[in-house]
Amino acid sequence: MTAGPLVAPVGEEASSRRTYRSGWVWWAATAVVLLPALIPPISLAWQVITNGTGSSVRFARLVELFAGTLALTGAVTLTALAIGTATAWLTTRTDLPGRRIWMIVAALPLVIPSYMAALTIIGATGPDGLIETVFGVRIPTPYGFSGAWLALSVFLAPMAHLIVTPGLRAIDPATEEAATGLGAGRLRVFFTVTLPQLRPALVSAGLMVGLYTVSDFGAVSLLRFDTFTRAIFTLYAGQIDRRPAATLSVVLMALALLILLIERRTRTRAGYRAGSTKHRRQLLRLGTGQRAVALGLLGSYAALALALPMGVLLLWLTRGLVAGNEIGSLWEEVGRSVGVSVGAAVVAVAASMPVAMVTTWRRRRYLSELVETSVWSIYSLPHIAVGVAVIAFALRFARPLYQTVTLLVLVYVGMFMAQSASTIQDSLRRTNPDLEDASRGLGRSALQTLARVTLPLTQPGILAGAALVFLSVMKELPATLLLRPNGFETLAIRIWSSTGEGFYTRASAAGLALLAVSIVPLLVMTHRDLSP
Amino acid sequence: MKRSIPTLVACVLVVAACGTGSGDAEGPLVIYSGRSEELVQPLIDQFTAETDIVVDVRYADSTELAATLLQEGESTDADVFFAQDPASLGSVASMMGQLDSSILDKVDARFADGDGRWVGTSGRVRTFIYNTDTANALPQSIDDVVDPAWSGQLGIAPTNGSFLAFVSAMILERGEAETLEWLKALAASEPQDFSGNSPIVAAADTGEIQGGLVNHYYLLRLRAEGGGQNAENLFIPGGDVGSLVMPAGAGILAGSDKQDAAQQFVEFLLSTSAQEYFANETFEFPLVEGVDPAEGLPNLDEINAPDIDLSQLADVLDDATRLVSEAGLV
Amino acid sequence: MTSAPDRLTIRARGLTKTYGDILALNEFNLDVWEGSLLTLLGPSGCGKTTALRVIAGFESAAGTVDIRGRRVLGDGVFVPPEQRRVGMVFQDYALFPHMSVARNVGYGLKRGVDQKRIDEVLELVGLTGLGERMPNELSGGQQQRVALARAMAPAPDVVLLDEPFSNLDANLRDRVRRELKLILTEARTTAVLVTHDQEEALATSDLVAVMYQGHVVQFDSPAALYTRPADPWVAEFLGDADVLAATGHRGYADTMLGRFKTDLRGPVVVVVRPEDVQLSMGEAPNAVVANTEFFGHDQLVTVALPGGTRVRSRIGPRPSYSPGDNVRVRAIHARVFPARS
Repeated sequence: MTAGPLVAPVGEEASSRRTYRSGWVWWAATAVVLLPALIPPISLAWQVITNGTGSSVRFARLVELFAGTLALTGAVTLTALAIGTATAWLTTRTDLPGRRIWMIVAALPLVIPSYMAALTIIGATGPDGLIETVFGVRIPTPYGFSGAWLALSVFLAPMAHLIVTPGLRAIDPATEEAATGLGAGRLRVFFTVTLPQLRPALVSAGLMVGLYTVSDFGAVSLLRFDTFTRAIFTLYAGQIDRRPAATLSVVLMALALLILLIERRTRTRAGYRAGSTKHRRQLLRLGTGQRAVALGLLGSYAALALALPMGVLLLWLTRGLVAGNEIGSLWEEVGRSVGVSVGAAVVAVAASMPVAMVTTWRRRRYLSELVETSVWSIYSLPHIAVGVAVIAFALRFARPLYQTVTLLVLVYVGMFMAQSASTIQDSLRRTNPDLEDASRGLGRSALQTLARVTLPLTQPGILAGAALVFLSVMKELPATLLLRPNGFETLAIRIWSSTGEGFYTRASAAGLALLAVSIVPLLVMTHRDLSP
Repeated sequence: MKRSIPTLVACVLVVAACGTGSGDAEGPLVIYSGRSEELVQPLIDQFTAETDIVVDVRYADSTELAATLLQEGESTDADVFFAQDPASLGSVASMMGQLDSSILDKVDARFADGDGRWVGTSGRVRTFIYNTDTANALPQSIDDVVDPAWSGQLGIAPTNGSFLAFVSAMILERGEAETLEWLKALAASEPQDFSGNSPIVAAADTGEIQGGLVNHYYLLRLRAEGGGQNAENLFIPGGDVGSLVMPAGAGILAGSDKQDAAQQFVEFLLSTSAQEYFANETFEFPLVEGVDPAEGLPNLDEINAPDIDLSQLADVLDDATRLVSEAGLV
Repeated sequence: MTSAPDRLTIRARGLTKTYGDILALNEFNLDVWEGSLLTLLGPSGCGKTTALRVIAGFESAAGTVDIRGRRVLGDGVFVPPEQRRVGMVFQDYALFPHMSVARNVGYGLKRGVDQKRIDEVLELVGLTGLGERMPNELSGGQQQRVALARAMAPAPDVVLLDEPFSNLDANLRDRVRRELKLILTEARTTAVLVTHDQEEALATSDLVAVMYQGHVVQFDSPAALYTRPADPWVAEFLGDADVLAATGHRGYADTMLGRFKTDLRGPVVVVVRPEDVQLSMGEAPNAVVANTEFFGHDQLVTVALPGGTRVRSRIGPRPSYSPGDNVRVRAIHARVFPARS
């Protein structure tokens, strides 16, 4: 779940696209796309209200889970923000050598799913861990809060980095120079001028990281820290009565929605106008000592977030192969993972087109905003809860779809559509609306204009959106776990089940395969971010 | 191009829809297995090799699968439910058909459903796994396990089907009140939470924990891989549920349209080759005459197992779950 | 001009700076006297903004800069901008968007001098009572005044203004320009204003430094610059001018437009301004009218000389000429420069 283009919009410009008489087609398409996605969660909530919550949901337990979830979320958010802001700062504001490479490095850990982050920690620490093998020092495995905190902070920092970087770039460098000229030292400039202008991006990044932490399933399960998601799965897997799982799912979805709505409110209020940046920003020149420290920090992060996972996976793999363990063929899992990821990416992009289009129109702004809020609301729902909701819904109302690949792909599309809608929206906003008018003036119909003018111009957004969705689906675990057809194992499932059975060799092989396949879309995405 | 997008979408959906097959008689045999893939997939592959029957397996926890079967109801695609413990089997007994007497005759009556809806396929005994370096006195009864001496050193898998079956058995033996007391005492000793039995045994081997409640065969599996040098199984001698004998078992869903194939599979599980697999590869106790358990294991009759009607386990499974939650273990 | 060093606010000598292969400043020299308003004029890319930024301390260069006798750049010295007491008004104003007008203005003040001085300065720029507004609530002209107030509030040694009028609507510019000059004069502030608009430069300042390719080519009053440009380029840059080739011989250079005194020998260029070019009909015509542009209060007539050279003449609204008319053209005044080889 990434949020690259989720920068605080700087005063909603360019929403001046005109609608044409055929506009209603797009609204209809949007409704067709959105409504089915909204139904399962609402249906689940209704079920919980009418069927009751089940006997084993104690209020004290709810409070416990709340406290645990919020504590973890708070800690992870602050830490990931700190790390991500630091990496963003160092790569955009200083003259650090190799900045462009560090920018990629700082974003790269996005390919690593949270459960793999947890595996990294488990495999690096403890007896026979990577650290003991290489350095001879045994660090006890930090199960529980500290482990979950570490795993999520390190691997969610790229998300903060990707949101804070454009936020930094949007600050008019002249304001900082003005402050300097008025006598402010560097620290004062940072706290009184830079940070306040960075606030919208920081808030947006913080809320996105928080949302992800609330929804995380893989890391907290493997590192054994009880949050809502872990409790939901425990109840789902451990009880005959499905109602407690449903209840907690509804509570969790409500929590996630709350966070999302707060994030949207703060975003629309921000809107500092970015000044014209006529001269290029002066980069902060680092002294040798400072440069060493900066490189040290970035290097440590890269070691922790990239080298360590690779190291653990390779260690397990080689150890297992040497001991004669079999990996078995992973090709089927690779095929399935890639298959559903590509399928979901294609459908998501197609589904996003009407959504993106209607949200860039100026007429009926209230409807556009409703659409946008809906899309992001669906996106924010934790996947374990979505799984529970969709199963309940499918069994009652859509039986033929139950346990099919089709349903799985559709659920993926619903969950991640916001990502592709967002990138396509970005592209649409950047295109000059006069181009479409020119095309119409030259005699082309609406359809032809769409095909020959709008779509080609939106291509970057389409590609980026497809890449994002592909990546998200590759990594996805909890919904897949619940909804997959019998015998349908993806790479993520393979990693999960092999780990659960203690078969680390196979888990690491699958993990490496997952990383290898994920690199491609990530390079597509960061290539976009690198362009000025 | 606008037209081509909906077409593309339609194509993707059609292709995907071809992947939906809801229970036609030519489809694969669908098994819901509460037994882990690593343990059981080789056996299933052997079945397919021998009979040419294609099998699709859904692996998950026994309890989860039981709940799923109940949620799916009559329209479930599953043909066979192969579970890790009798409690899960009992919960869905109403959905399963009575097995052929030729199958039921092969196994001792105490290892099958009273109404013949499921049959045990291999015996598993609850044991206390301990690290051989521990200084604590080994428990002589299940109550010794919650002794303060073990505080902070235990590992349990409170959502695991076997554990819940064990708690259900305790309810049948002692009643709810005393079971809750025992569970609370267990919670008070702050055991470490694990998702399954293998991790508990591995942890005991490395010394991460000093003791845990598992099924007997996990240690033997670990030893077969070269580990497990520092851990040992204890068959708790007290005669209480500490050494509960629970069969894994299988039953056929009454609504299945592949009754023949399903029956072949259950028969296969009770065949000599499968029973020998259970004995020598998964280190469980064979339940069929003429097959011996693996070396180093006692005979089934030598274990001081409690006398409990396994068919009733399912009735108290919900209570067991509730008590486990009330005690604060989940 | 007196050059008593203690009345010299800024003294820049030999400033040289390159960006990659671009020479932004090339032996740039400048003197700014206390209390004066100097305009640094030049086409885009001539380095004038760079010069400003070097003086302010946002960039470094080779050469020396002294402010009020104190060395801030050169000889191993570099005083950072926050210690230089130089006020800067940026082209896009760079107001802190998250602070009110009052807080913006008060930003550079030391603690304790606050509200009184802020009110004082706001009154000076004519924004009394707007202290609590946010920058995005103000018009462009008001924002500019806030930027000026902010720069002036800490009573700096000099105020630098980078193209202050370029972001304003054309009809506002004249008015704002006059007001700005009034404000600066009233506060007796020393100021350097950078612009590419030569009309602005000539109308605003007492002194203008004309820059070309990183170097000051002429430093004079507006009138002197206009009537006595130092070279043909300056002549063409400030106001309209037409250039004719001629030869200097025995104290004179002869052109189709007349004979002009000069001491130069050899190839020369003769530069005339349209207002010095007269037309008459009837007598021996030596040119053909090519084009006329009518402006109401005057008109600009372009005539073509034999050989193709075009010369412009600025005359009153009457008489009106038409393309194709044969006329006699002569210049009553011209400047003669050596021809560049």
